[in-house]
Amino acid sequence: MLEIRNLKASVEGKEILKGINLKVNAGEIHAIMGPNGSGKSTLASVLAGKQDYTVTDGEILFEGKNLLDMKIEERAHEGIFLAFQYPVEIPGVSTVNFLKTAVNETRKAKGLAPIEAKDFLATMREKMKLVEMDSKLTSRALNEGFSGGEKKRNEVFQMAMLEPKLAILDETDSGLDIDALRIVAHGVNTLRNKNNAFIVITHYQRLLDYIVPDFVHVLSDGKIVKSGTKDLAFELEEKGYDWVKEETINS
Amino acid sequence: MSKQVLDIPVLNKKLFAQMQTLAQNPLRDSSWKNFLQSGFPSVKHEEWRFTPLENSLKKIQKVSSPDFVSLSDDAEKIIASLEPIDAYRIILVNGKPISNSVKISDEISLLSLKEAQKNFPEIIKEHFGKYLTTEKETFNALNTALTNDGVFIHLKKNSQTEKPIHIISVHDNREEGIYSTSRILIVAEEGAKAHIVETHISTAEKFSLQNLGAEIIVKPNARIEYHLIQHFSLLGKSEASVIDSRQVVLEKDSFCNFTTVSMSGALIRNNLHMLFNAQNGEGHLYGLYLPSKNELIDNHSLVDHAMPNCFSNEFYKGIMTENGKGVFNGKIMVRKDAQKTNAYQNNRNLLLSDDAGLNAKPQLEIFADDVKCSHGATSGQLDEDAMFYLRARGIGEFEAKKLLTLAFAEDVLVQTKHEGLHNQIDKWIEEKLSF
Amino acid sequence: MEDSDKILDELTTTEYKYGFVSDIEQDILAKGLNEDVVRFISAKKNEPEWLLEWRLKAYRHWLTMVEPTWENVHYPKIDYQSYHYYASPKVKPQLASMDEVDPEIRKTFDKLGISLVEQMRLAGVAVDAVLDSVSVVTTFKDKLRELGIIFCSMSEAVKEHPELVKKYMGSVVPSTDNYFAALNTAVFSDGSFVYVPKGVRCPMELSTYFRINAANTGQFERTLIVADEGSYVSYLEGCTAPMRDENQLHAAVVELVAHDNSEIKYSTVQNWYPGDKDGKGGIFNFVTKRGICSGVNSKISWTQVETGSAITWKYPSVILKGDNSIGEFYSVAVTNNMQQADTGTKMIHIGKNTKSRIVSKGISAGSSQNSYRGLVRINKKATNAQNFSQCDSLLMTDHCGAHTFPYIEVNNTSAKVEHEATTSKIGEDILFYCNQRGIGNEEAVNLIVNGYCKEVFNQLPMEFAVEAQKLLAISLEGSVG
Repeated sequence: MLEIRNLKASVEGKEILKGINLKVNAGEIHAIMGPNGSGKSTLASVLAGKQDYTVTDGEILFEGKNLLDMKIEERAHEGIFLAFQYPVEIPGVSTVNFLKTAVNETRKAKGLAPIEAKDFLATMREKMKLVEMDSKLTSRALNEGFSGGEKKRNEVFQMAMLEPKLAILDETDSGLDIDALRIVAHGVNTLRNKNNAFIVITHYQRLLDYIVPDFVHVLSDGKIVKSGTKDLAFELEEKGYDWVKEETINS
Repeated sequence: MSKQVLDIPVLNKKLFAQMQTLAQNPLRDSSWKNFLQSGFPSVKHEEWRFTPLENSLKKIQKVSSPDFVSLSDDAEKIIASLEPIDAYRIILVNGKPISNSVKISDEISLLSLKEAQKNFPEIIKEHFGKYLTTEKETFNALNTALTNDGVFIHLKKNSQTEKPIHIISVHDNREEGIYSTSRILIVAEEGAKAHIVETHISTAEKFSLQNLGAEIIVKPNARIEYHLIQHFSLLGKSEASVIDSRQVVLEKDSFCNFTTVSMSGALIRNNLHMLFNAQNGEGHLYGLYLPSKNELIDNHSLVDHAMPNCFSNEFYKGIMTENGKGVFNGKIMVRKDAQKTNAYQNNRNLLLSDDAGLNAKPQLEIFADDVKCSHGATSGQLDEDAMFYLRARGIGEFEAKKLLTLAFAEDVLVQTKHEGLHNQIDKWIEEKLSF
Repeated sequence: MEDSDKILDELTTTEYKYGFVSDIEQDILAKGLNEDVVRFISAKKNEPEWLLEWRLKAYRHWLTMVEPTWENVHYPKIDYQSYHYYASPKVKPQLASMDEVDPEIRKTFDKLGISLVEQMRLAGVAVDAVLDSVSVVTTFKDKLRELGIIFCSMSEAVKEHPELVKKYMGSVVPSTDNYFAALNTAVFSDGSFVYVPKGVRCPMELSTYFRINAANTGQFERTLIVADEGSYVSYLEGCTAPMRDENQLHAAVVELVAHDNSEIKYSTVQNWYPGDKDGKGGIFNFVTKRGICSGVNSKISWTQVETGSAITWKYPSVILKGDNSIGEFYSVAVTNNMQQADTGTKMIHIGKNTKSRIVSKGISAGSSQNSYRGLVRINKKATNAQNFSQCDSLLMTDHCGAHTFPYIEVNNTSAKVEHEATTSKIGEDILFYCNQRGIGNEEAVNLIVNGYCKEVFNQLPMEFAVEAQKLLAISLEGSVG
């Protein structure tokens, strides 16, 4: 589904990603872990197409298409979803209105007619249950005055509505208490199927108790320095990131 | 432009011709010409709508003598009590320093402008009259045309003062209708740091008018903390008045915190302009004004963002009592190239009497798009809930009012960053607020 | 941001949708202005002597006045002699039903998207259509008459209800109030008149559609709305003008009078032709709108969505004279290309416990200049007055300007006045977020801008709100820079 080859990216002339290689197949969950400043969020932003980052080398293929040639919204239309670490607030725009626009723009890109209002509402109700979201929240302005947990649940709710092929969860666990964490994880696990894939970016192993990854990669200084199964996450938890760093230096 | 509302007989061609002025030609002549062309503004002039000058200008009878004037006993007494006690002090009487220089260090010079003209001719030539525009600014024009002395402060590269520099400006108004000119030039070279306090007082009750012009140049990486205090009624009601125009110029990575505390004065008009002349400057403008009986305090400010990536924060508070009138007119200008500007302005007012008045005009003029700017202005009374809370705790009404009013002023007074000064102003406010 | 530049280019060239010219036979008075023109207009309308005198007095005073220059707009000097001061359709039938309306005029309204028949049937809106200067047809009049509500053209009101017109016209905006109001008083051709009697709640929205059709005609309509004790009325005004190279002049006067316990809601959607992208042509819109809450507990609310005109000079105001009266001003002002707007409000607090609220949302795009200018004055006797103002500006390009000039004058200690203003552009992070959800820049800007204006749109009746949103989209398409 996704193939990243020797990806290098920089921001304001400073190289952050220094040659990433990663392959994600449908039905898989990949966890990307790493210390602060290792380039985890940069990778998420580059995949989504954020303009602050310049890709200096390498390529990203998504279902055989060159992702780097696409605009941000075209990538979204192709089925890439980024759950933001810091979701923005948009005053005056309700979550419902926002999502309807997002769904219809994606449909338009695929040559489909806008969704019927009653179908949209029915889907919305169903998906809201998934993340135990209060219906009052959806009529409020997007993320405005939402708590940290509500914002993150809203991200997973949007993911459920948009049904992406590849979802990237950027530190979705940060700022969540254990109950919210469980709800978010439940959402992700329910949405998981053999046709979609997830990249879960996290600093801590904790989230991976709830969303069990098929593969774990350790990112350090802009490179994937170690890959393994979920056991790697436990090892990291135990030994800390310095262990990987040392190992990398030694090798 | 406005029409001349009246001629002041003593401010005439003969005076100008006789005056040994600091300004050399062509500045000297053009300033005088600009003054004659603009004349004095009437209330029809947009910038003077709420500050009628006519009655004040009519009272001018005499231009202060350029010769040395001794300090009156009253003045000595006040000066002795002024904070900060431990400072490098220079004393002016009607704009003229009573000593030619105050020794600070080899790197920092505190001189009379006249003396500076001998010792620092290049610096004077480079900066004097460069920033205070005289075109269409009648008081600047008149000031520049007539200035023959004043204060000069020079800070060499990376120099730093150990204690504050204190300019004490005595307005000698024992005689009725004195007009005086005062001028200040401060140049802080690269990386220099200084804390400057300037206190204006008067010695009697009669009417006087001072026209003050100041230019403050803050070179790259330099930092200036400036506290201007105007308190003319320390000895009882005084008719001393001032029109105070200042231009602060901020160069790259420089910093200035300018705090104005206007305690009392028949008519105080402050024109504070801060120009961001290069990137990454940071400027703060704080103000507190307390017009009381028959007093008018008018704070005009212009924060001029000419270059990108600068930050400015303006915060003025007014406490109006009796029939005191407060005016706040603040403009934030963000010019076309000044992208990534962050500029904030806030004006809060307390009206404590039915006869008090406030006119506020906070303005934003923005020509760049990648900016964050906001302004706010409020006018109101002391919070009733807070009053109730304090009284329910057994604090009497008078005491509660005093407490809350001092708390209101506190946001600005913390900016003085000098405990003695802070306490002195607190005490003055308490004295002034006779509820 | 190359893409958005491209979109910007494409869309700033979007033609003015309403720029067509109707082919209707018109009666046009020769260009120029003098006392004879004033007399001609008055005679043409069979006006009583007092009205002619009032016009002449205003005209003579106007001659002594100077055009204001304090506003933050720049335009070439207006030659008042180069305009026609009267134009009316030649056939001026007395119409009993919609079917009798000139088919060309009907077509004009159809193009504007306000089919009268449709509106009558579906929306229950009574429409008083003003084509250039003469009110062509007034619908629903009979139904309103049953309730004692008078809704007719100003000319008709002068004939049928002279006592009301005489009593109220000029009572809020005196003939000598300002340069443009004086000009209007001298040459006003027609307009709408509304009177809602005591205790009556007007059951439908009253609406006027203004449209300037003839070339070089100044439109000087005059509207007067009087709400008697305990009554309520909501009035909608929509404006369009055809596309022409010359600058057309529009100097209207609107007066509102609210008696005890009454409420007037006045909504405007204005999309006069703004000129082309180089600033050629477009309407000069110099309007005096003022209401007086003369009675206790009365309320006047102005809502405006302004996307048109080359130059706008407009400050819908409320004089809060009655105790406990309320004044509101909700505004969205959009400027694009070379448009200039200087608009805002005045809230004059005279009565006790009076309240006012100002919500102004300015959006500047292209090379336009958008200024908010507002006055909040609390008079000495106005105890417990309250004002809240929120003035926000959104900048879409790096070569437009947004300016805020609020004047606050407080002379009473019990007043509570709050003013807040912000200026910013649409955040890149917000655009990125929308893009990531599959929403392209153009649609994202629409969404964000509509959200930004929501508080104002909420004040509009439903159909108007939808129209306003569409107008906003047309005016701003892709203009993020």
